[in-house]
Amino acid sequence: MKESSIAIRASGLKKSYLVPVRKTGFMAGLRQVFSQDKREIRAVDNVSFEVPRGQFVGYIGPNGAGKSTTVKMLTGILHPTSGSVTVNGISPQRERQMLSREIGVVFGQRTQLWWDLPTVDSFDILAAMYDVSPGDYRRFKEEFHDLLGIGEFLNTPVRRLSLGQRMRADLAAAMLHRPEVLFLDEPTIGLDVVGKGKIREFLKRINEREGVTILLTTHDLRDIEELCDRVLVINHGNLVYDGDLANLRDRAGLPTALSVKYAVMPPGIRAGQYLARNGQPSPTPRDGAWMVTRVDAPNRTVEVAFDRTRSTAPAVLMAMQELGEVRDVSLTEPLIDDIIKRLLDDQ
Amino acid sequence: MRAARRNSEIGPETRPGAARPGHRAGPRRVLAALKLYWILASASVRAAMQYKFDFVTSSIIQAVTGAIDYYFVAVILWKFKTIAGWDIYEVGLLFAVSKIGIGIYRVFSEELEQFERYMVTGDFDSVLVRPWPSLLVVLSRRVDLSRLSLALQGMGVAAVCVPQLLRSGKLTWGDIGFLALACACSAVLFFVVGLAAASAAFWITRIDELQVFTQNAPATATLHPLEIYPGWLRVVLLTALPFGVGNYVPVRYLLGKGGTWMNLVWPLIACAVGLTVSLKLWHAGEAAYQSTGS
Amino acid sequence: MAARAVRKYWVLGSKGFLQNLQYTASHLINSVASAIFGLVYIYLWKAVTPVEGFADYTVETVVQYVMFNQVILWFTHFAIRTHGRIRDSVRSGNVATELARPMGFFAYRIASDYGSQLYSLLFRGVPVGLLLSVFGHYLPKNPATWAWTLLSLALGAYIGIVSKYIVGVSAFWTTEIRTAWTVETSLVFGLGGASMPLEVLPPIAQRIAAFTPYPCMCYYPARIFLELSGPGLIWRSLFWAVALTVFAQALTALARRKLEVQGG
Repeated sequence: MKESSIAIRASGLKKSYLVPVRKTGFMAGLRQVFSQDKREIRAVDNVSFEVPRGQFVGYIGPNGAGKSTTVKMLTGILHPTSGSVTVNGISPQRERQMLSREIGVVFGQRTQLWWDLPTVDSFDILAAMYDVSPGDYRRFKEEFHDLLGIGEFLNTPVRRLSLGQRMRADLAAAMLHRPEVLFLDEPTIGLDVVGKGKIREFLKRINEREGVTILLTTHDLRDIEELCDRVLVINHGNLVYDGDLANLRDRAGLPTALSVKYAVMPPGIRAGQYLARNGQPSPTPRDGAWMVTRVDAPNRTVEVAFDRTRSTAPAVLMAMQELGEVRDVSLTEPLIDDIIKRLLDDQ
Repeated sequence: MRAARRNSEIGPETRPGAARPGHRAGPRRVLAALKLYWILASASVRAAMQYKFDFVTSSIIQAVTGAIDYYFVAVILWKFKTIAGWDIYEVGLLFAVSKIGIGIYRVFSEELEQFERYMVTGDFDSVLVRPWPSLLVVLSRRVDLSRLSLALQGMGVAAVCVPQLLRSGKLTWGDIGFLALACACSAVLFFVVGLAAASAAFWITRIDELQVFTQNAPATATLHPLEIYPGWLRVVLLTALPFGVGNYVPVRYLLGKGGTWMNLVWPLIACAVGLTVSLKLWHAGEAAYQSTGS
Repeated sequence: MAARAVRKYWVLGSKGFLQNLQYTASHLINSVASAIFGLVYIYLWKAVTPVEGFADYTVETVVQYVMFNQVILWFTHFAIRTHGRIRDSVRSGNVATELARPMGFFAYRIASDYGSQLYSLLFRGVPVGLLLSVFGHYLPKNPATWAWTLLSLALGAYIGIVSKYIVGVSAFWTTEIRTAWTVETSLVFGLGGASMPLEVLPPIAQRIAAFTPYPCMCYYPARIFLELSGPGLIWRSLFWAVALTVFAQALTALARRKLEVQGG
């Protein structure tokens, strides 16, 4: 690929820490001071990838896998132990200040706004910090009111914003200087469904219509499903998967679970059987049948797994209603951690 | 032309940042930095004014704590008349220069005093994503006007001592300019040491205890004439923790207690050397930052 | 019954002690810092004390006085966190449950904080003493002096904790207790003799100091330790220990009523 079409390039990226070995037992604190025992922890072991301009990349992995460490190296916060990074052709380590004018960064767990001041003050300050002209700034406020509704809370101090409002404000703040690349660390964490929806809609739009390259870490599968062209999976500091979500699903299998509580326990149903569309259980898989994953007779509950890309929850529910009178229904989305676990078990 | 944007609503010409000149050092950049500092610092004062009660109590606490130091020195001099040949007005001058210095330092550098927090929480991350030097971003986070009460206390003591010393002929009017310079150097030297101690946090994270060594203890020690200390301690207070260079060295010469006109120059040299060293330390620390918080 | 009560307080006290063990390293660093403060004061007093001494002090005893106070000040004042714990508990609302415990709120707080104070004496005070002993040391030869000093210190720490308790309980009326603590610290230094023998003060200040509990935390134990005063000073400490306890209990009752009226 031509250099100018690459937004992010990481090659042989590695970050290790030396941490003192923690002492336990009598006078642990004291012995710790005089201890020379150090252990090397490889947060990121060997990570290489390229992200073309305009791509929307999901960067996922279990807690402690090295996601945040990678993002911090890409944004110039951390210096890699070895390997190299360029973002927009700029080295985050050598030209941190120059790069920061071309990227936006949002940490979902912490705000970068001025806590005690009205939200608009944060925008004013950032406009000054990034040399945004008054005209551009005015346009920003109009446009981002349309996109994220920031006009609703411009005069509210940041500390009084709801979590959803705060995240919208943080996202707008990260976009104020019109960065070409956006790094998002858990942008939907802790939000309700509506809040997540608004954020996703916004991200999709700036990616598709303005060509902003986005790299996002998340624990929410829906974020990936609705947004990402490409998924990178990291585990123990190494990339273990690079491809699209459909392929990841095929490899790991991503069952959504529908759990139904019956008025009377349907007889003769066992875990491991398959349920056809007409509600007929059978011991072998047939086309379009779903697997019964759990049967809890004392609680009169049956759980069936299905793939959301192939079936819908109402279709599954209809089949399950054939078995008896339904009292209660619950739907469990697969967790990213489960998928990764399956992916790793597979290898 | 960098980005080939799809369906761009906002043309590249409206994008600041990438193509903008002047993020290299230069007079325009310095001016822009000062302007930004002003905007950020006034925002921090506005934010602090949301908590007026805290501001008032903090000012009172500063005043009371400072008053203990003064009481201590005053009582000793009331009882024993001199400390190593320095009378109450002369010691008062040492006290005033030091307190004005530390007061000014703490108004502008309160964030350095609290710098441990940046390491513990990982808040330094958000400093590093800004297109300005990290030290500027950190310092501009807070200007703490309640610390002015320390400097005011020093000025109060000076207002009592200086007229007495002028009357007894130990000081001349011309010396007052040099005293002002000494106060400024004293503030810079507190900054030098404070910055070095804060930089240590990049490697050792916890620095609250260290700051007691590097600031509280030597600052208390230099409220008294250095003649009372053994050689090694005097050396420490004139080199590694050079608060004595800020007040004792120039005041000693101005009061005709020894030294040469170089005593007025040493503080400037110490400031220049000290600033160079601690800024280097800060930059080395920034590169070693581990971002272990969160 | 009494034995059970004593055991309860013992358990609380030793918990406070053990909790602190985790922080030993940073406290030792802290001790070095307070030793340096001590050093500064030692040289100051060596410089200002006339060769013939003053009042009943010689140059040596003044230096011993300053060193002794540097060792015990963590124990009788600086390391005490009672006020902060009460304020936090008032802020979080936990205080309601704590007040409802069968063991009195006052007794509970005092017992658990006394444990951490013993820790402070061992791991903050003693290291300071060892470090400073490089500059000359003095230990009383008479075992009775040791006994009276320890008793006087024990009362001093008790008075220190109870006075912090009173500062802490003020959080029921105003959540801001830093000012009250700062004022108290000033009084410990100004009238308690934490940094100098009270004889240095102007006579009027000395007279005022005698009517406050603050000398119990610094000046009285030091005088007994240096064998400059007899054990008679213990009575004053005992008086203040009782008086402050009564006052603190009364204040707790008021706080409890306030909580009941406002329902937390």
